[in-house]
Formats: sequence, C-alpha cells, structure tokens
Amino acid sequence: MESGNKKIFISGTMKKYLFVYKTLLLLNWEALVEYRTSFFTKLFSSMLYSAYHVITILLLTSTVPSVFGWSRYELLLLASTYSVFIGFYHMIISQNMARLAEEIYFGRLDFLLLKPIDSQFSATFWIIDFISGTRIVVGLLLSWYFLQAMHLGVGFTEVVLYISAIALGLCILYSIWLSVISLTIFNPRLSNVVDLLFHISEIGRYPREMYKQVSVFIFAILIPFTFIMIPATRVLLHDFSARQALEAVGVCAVLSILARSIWKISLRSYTSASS
Amino acid sequence: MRYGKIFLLHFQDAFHSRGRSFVYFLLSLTSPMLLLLFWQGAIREHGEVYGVWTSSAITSYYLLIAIASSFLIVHIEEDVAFRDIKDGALVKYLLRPFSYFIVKFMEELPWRVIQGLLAIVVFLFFRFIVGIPLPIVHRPLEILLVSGVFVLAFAISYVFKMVLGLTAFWTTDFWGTLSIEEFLFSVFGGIIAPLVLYPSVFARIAQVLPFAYIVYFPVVAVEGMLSIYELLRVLGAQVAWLIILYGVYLLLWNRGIKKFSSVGQ
Repeated sequence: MESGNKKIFISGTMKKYLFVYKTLLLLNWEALVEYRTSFFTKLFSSMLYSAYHVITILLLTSTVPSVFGWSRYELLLLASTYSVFIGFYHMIISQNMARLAEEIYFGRLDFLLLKPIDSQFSATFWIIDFISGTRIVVGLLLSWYFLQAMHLGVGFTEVVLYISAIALGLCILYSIWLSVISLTIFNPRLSNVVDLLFHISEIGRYPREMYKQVSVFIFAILIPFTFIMIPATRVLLHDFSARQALEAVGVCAVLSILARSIWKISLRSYTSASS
Repeated sequence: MRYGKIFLLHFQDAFHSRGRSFVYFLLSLTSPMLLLLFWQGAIREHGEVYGVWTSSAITSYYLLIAIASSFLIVHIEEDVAFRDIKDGALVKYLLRPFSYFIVKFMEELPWRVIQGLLAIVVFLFFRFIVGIPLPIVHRPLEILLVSGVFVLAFAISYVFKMVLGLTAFWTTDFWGTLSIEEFLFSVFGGIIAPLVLYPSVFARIAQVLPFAYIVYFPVVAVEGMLSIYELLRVLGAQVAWLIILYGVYLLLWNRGIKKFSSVGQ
C-alpha cells in the first residue's frame, strides 16, 4: 500500500513538472516570435556563432594537417559537435544561469524560492531560448559533412551513444555552472562570473591532449571540462570505449551531487534585498 | 574640471566594485590563454611552417593580446543600449549641461584604468617573475609612435562601441547585434591568430576593417614588429577610422535622439 502511494506520488509529481515545462515551452515560444525583426536578428547571429567555432579551427589549421594527434577534419568535427552541444546548453540552461546570477545580485531570488516547485528547477529551467536551436541544426549538418569527408558512417548505436554523451556533457557543465553561481550568494557583487563561465566553457572545444602541456594541478581542474565534448566526438570517430563511458558517467554523477549540495547549502545563507 | 570630477566619482564607484573588475580582467585572459596553448602545440609539432613565430614569440603575442584587451576594449555599448536607451535612463543625460559622449567616456575610463593597472601587474609578473621575454620597443621615436597607436586604438574602441550602442534606437533586440560584433572582432581583430598567419584573403579583409586597429596593431607595434613607415601607416589608418566612426556617431545620435521617448523604447 505504502509503495503504491509512493508510486502515485512520484508519477503525480512527474506529471506536474512535465505540465509546468510544457507551459514554459509555449510561453517562451510566444515571447520569441512577438517581435519579428528581433527574431531574425537573433537567428542570423545564432547561425553566425555556429559557424564561428568551425571558422576558428579552419583558421588555426590553415597551414598544418594535424595538431595534438587530431587531424584537421577531426578537429573540425570536434568544433561542429561543440556547436551542437552548446546549442543545447544555450537553449535550455545558460540563459537561466545568467538570470539566476542577476536575481541573486538584486536580491530577487525570493520570487523563485516562493514558487511551489523545486527551487533548482525554477531557477535553472525557466527560460528556453529556441533560437539556439539553429546552432544544433547547423552543428549537425556540419558534423554530417565532416563525417562524409572522413568516410565515416554513423549507425543507430552511434546515434544513441552520441545523444547520451551530449546529455552527460550537458549535465557536467550544468553542475559546474550551478556550483559556481550558487557561491555568488555569498558575494553577490561577483554576478558577472557568468560571463567568465561562458568563456571557460570553451575549454571543451579543444582536444584534451592540449591541456597536458600545463601543470598537473591545472590539468586536474580542467579535466571535468574535457569530459563535456570529447566523448560525443569520439563516438562519431568510432573511438569510444566502455572505460571512457564509465569515466564520463562517474564525473557526471559526482558533479551533480556536489552541485545540488552546494545549491542547498548556499540557499541557507541567502538574504533578499529586503532583509 | 567638471568632467574631471565626474571621472573621480565614477572611479570611486568602479574601485568599490574592484572584485567585478577582477572577474572582467580574467575574462580578457581566458580566450588568449586557450589559443596560446593551441599554438604552442602546433608550433612544437610543425615549427618549420610558422617561420619567425616561435614558441617564445607566440607566447609573448598572446600575453600582450590578453593584457592589451583588458584596457583597450571598451564595454560601454551594453550600458548605452540597455540602461540608457531601452530603460530610458538617457533622459537624465539630456537634461544635464554635459556632453553625453564625454560623460559616458568618463564613466568607462575608470574601469579601463583599474583593469590597466591589473594588466601592468600581470605584465610585470610574467616578465620578471616567470621570466617570459616580452619584447617591447625602447627607442624614443618608436615609443612616441607606439603611444600614439595605443591612444588612437582606445579612442577607436570607444567611438565604435558608442556607435554600436546607439543602434539600439532602431532595434528591439540588441543581443543579436552584439553577437555579430563579437564574432567579427574575434575573427578580424587578431584574437584567433596573428593576422600574418591568416590566409591572405582574411588578412586583407582584416587590414581594411577597424577591429585590427584596436588590439592587433597596438600589440605588434609594442613588440617592435613594425617599422617606422608601418607605424605611420597604422596611425594614418587609425585617424581615418576615428574620423569615419565619429561621423557615424554624430549621424546616429542626431537621428536617434529624435526617435527616443523618455520612458524607453
């Protein structure tokens, strides 16, 4: 009886959050298409940014065939995979993090905390930026092109692993961002750390071998960022092992638990603008 | 005198937020440091391709790019676009007997001064503690010309960002405009790579646009990579861009102010 009640409670809670998220999707879409000119400007700039990562690698490798054991096309594939990944991240998460930092800075987090849903959910999943979806589309098209150029095929297994790797990467980056932004509750003036996180996230754009040049201490700090992108790219290159998968899952699990703990502990120290 | 007092008031405010200033300074370091790591690996593996661009040369280039970016790249455009134009705060500037152009300059300058001080500390740290050779010009004429290049680079950066901010008079979404500008600056400003390492088409386009005159040319000038003739050419190009951009600023300001409504756009 008790386990049955627990199952009903869990399914009811799930339905509630799914309903809330579905409503959020509709509200965000309506806000996006309200102004057509700004819609097209955002669309154009999003496509430009998708191309930016690839253009960067093209410029960096314009005179050399390979770097760090990665061929030019492999680096381009990494760049296009990054485009797909960051498209998802900016669509679902990054805008919420920027808003969260601002709410903490201005002492307006109360409005999020008073809602009858989980505070972490309302703080980090409220805004959906559909425009960033163009980065996903452009990234996928470019990835397909580079795979064709390398004569590499992609089967159902690779697609499933690719999606799983992207999801793991999203979870890792989300956990890192949430941990850092939660800590701004102790020093709200540093809300501009979000801008720094946008730049630091670019660490995942480059091969892990690049960071072996730095000291062991710095490399250890950078390791979680290298799990964001490399697994998904290695899946497409048919160079992904079970050990690498376990490492990625392990890092994701540890960081997720850590992020949740830091968020909960930080909230205890939060004081709003009126207190 | 009154503008001096405005500067001091804003310096007080900027100094009060020195933690934020430090985070912004770290921002300017991040991309160049990542690119430096990439280039060091590429030069180690294919050094023969890059000629004079040795590991030492590329290290000094990117360190100087990071240092110069922190105080040459102005960030007033978001303030102009969002707070002043979108939120209507511009009205308080219009009612005062001060030039909007100069007042905003006095608001931005303290942040650049503080970040410039941080940049000097980093420069001294890498030069004398880490021991990385950061070549800088030492002949009086070169120092004079390079100083001129830096001053004009800062002026171009400021006027360009003011022009960018004023486009908010006509747009409902400024983030798209900002994203396009960041893309162009990264590609053509010498951030991704020294322009001499670009394919020739890209390098020629970069020479024509104003972005390279904000960070790239000041950095190669201070490293002593430009002859006196080339320094004079850069100065001439900077003066030309300054005149063009200031003309565009006046045009946008005179037209934009007629559209402005005091409660915002």
